[in-house]
Amino acid sequence: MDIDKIVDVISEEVPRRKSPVHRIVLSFIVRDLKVWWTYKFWLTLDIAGIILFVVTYYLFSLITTSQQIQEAGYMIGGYFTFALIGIAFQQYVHFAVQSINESIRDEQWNGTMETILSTATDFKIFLLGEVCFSFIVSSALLLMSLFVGVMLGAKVYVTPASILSVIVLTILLIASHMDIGILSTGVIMKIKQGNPVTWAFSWLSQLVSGVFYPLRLLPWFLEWIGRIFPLTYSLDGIRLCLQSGKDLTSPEILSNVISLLIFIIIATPISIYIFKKGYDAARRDGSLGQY
Amino acid sequence: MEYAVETFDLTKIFENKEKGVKRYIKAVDHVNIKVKTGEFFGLLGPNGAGKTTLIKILCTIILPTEGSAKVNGYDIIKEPHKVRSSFGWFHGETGGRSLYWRLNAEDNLRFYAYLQNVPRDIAEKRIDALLEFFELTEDRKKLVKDYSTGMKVKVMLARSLLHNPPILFMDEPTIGLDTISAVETRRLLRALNIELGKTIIFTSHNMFEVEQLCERVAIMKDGKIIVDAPPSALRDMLRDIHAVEVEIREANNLQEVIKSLGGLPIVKQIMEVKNDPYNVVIRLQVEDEYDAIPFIASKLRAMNAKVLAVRRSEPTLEDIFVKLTRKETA
Repeated sequence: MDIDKIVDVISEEVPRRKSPVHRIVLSFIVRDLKVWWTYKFWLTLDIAGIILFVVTYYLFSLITTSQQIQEAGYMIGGYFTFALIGIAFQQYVHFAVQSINESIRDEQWNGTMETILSTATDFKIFLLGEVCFSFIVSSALLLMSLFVGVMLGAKVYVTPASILSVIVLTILLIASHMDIGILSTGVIMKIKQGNPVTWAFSWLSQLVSGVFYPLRLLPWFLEWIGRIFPLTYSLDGIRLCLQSGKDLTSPEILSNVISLLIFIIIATPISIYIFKKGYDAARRDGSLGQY
Repeated sequence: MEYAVETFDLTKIFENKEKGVKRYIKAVDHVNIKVKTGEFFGLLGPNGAGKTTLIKILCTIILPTEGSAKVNGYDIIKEPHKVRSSFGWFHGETGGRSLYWRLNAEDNLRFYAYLQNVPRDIAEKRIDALLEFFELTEDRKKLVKDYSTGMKVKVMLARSLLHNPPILFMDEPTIGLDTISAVETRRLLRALNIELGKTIIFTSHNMFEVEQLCERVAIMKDGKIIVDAPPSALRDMLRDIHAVEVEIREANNLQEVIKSLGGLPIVKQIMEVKNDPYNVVIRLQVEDEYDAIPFIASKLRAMNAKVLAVRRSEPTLEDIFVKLTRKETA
């Protein structure tokens, strides 16, 4: 192609307006889907991993009784349904806590971080685009694990009110854990190694938030620590909806919703502040693209 | 707008902590440059001079410590979003790493086109044209991970042009390209500058490129601009530089040989010593190469060095940097 021709093509007048947000977000999703598709082995491992996890807890439930689960207020489904909900909704915990910092690490690893941040796309839209595909994958894995669980005999209440309540509690679960994700990304942008905040949070949260056993089985001090974590309130609320048929009109669910809202109101400004500090520090150090 | 890029005492100091001791490195030191709209401006300097840091500050990737700058009339600190819509950036230092290796060339370009607000139909037309220009049409569906370095560089070049920005920051754009592709790239940049009036800030280590393309050249050293002149002035400086290259197979007393060459009255200074597994190449700046060559050869023979060659060497940009630095120190 001769130079004149390419100069003509490049110089064609373009209306000066921003791309709609949904188009930019969609381009991130398409990009991530195409990259993900090249890792077929990972894809298989992700799906196999979640199915094996569900099956493991199904087998485990065969040697446990439902009595303690019912005493904790979760009326149907027994231990298997209890654990299934814990496992399934862990997908959203992982998404909310890890997706931002994993995406940023990937961009740094690819060497594309600085190039993307030098484009006309706003940083907030960049972050939104980065996490969308991860949300879709987490949702798919969550639905898949629930499906496998139901096939293996898990029982849940499915009424419009209980499903609506689960959706509200899930949004609050994601929002509250996103705060931890944003905060840890701010830390990682500055210190460039490991992820101490996410590591400590994920480990403690799994231990004391009632993912695999009811909170009341824990010693009193661990139960007390468990009440600091938003996962405790989210899982309790979701289980009460799915295992006891309760909904947002129930005082127990409302109390969980209020606790989550308080956490979000306190944590959001703190996490945004720390994120901004980390981002500015990386721009000052010239280390935005470094890992 | 008279100036596409203006800097006002722009300074960047990096803080570095080593064994608990803080060190401060002045990467950009009170830089004041004014690049006219439509100018082809060269930014040169040895490695570590601060060129890339300066460009990254102008691209809003790094915050300056002091001073300010305007790109396309927008303040880099107060209006970073407007600045980012104004330029295309090619950064050759990454050697093709700044692409998604698990996507093919057209997917890489399409993604960036959308981020740069290029409408879909226009993006497709430009992607086709740029891939054709860079001879990547046949390989457009191949994953970038399977590309050679030169092909990756071409995709990065295409990416920086996709949104037709008024300013181009071209940080070593011909690095990794074969000779023909480098010629074509230079022709394209020239055409974009002349026909579309694009302002181009260009860095290179190739004196020939700089002479061929740039209307004005600034040389950076230790974060400072030490020369701001047309390329003809650099050519004049090169005229004064005479260099000789000595290649020896081995010398048990290498340090002694180097020291003794440096002490010869005809040798102005030792520019560079390159060691490879089989031989050593020493570049010397001399008063006059025709007098120096036989003199140096006999000196080396006397020292029992296994001499492979003593030859005249073309002066390079590095020689200018050394010369200018020496002048600065003096």
